Amino acid sequence: MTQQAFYFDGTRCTGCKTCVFACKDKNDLDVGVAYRKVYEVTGGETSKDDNGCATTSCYSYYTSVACNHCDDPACAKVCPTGAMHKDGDTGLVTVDADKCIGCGYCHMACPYNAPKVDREKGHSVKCDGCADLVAKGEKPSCVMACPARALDFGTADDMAKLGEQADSAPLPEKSYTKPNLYIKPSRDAKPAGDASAKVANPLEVK
Amino acid sequence: MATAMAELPLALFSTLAPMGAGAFVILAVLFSTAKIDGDALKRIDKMTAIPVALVIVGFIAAFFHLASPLNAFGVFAGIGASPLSNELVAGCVFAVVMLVYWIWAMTGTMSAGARKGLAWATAVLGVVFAWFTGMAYMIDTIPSWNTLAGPIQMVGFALVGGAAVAILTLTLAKSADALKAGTMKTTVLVVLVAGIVLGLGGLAAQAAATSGMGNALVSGADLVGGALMIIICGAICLVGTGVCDAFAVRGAQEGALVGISCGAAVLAIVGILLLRLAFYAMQLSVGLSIM
Repeated sequence: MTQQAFYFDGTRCTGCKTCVFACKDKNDLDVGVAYRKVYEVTGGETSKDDNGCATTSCYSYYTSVACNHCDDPACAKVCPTGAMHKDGDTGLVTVDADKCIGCGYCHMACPYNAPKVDREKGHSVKCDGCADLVAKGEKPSCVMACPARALDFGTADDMAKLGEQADSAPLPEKSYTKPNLYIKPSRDAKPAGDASAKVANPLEVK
Repeated sequence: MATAMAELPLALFSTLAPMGAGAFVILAVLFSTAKIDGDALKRIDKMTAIPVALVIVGFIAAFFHLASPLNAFGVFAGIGASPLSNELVAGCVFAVVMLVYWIWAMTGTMSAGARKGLAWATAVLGVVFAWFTGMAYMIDTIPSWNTLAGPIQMVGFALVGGAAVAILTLTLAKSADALKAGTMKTTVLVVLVAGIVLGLGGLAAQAAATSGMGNALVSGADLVGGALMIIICGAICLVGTGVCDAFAVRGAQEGALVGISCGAAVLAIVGILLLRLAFYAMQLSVGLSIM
């Protein structure tokens, strides 16, 4: 198996969300469903000293996340029917719609907020790494659309040469699922699990 | 709380089905310790439709939670690997034994020995089912649920709620006198107290742990704060159930028994449902999971 992976360059992302909309367009997603989301992460504070001089530790950076097609996917681990599974050739995690019961267990368990139950379709839906495009030798739509070239996709070995396995806030520690997401973190990025780094756009990424 | 309301079918399932299951604990003790005449047994078997109906309604609620219920037989593929499959298998085994017991009892051909054995099997499997229902939420990416406090509170709710259902069943079967005998009275009180202690203790332990957690989206203290009112209301209902039922077995007058036992059962349903909603409201991921 040749595991496929995403790469995200936090030093290049401007938070424009073109990746989000390219994905929605390609997959014909309705309002309320997005396979890729851009998290706006903020923290810090501004204070004045005794002389009235203001200093700030405020920061803000973006993290673009879809399914990370983890080596140890929490969604597939809890799936009662085996509908959520890793592809034997590419390592991409996909949903078998004929097996899925739409229980939402994968949605609960995934710490990357990737799968979601689409009740109209009757099963879980999520990023499949644009498997159809990848099979034709192309890259996923989000990668091709990014104007800042902050996203890339390829074999996990190649992506690992560009960045480190995702381990920065707002993402969970990489040990939970071993994500196939490699990141060049923003200069201000906080370590994974640092609860002081808050997502500033929760309604947008829900 | 929006999180909790989205899980209403699951909250109904995890309230009603374990309550129905827990009722068989009291019935099993009753059949093992009391001498009950044939007519009374017939009335009790007829009224056992109440816990049986609660279990069935609970399973129907769970069914409605699914987006594709027609694929539900596929859950058996995950036995041993998926906690949800394990829960459903435990639930199905319990439900089948319960139905065999009840249908056989209703035919009037069940011997005393078989009744005792099957009632105990149903009771034990019911408690095991309640435990597995709690285990289904022990997911390592959700630390606020990944604690034994979950299964412990589920067993507690099954015991206290089940005792309330059993007392109602026996009262409506005009057999409440059997509950007032020494052994049964003590057993019912022990089950009620154990249920309340395990249920509320488990939830309190979970809430205390959650309040110290946080992720990039929410703080555990905010989640617990948001659920506090329903926890308090649920706890009051549950204690009210215990008080009403203790009064029922300690010699309430015949005329008041039906009202008291009905009130206790309603309080148990409302209380456990509120506490289950509080459980769902305290979902906190290690990452970005948003219910």
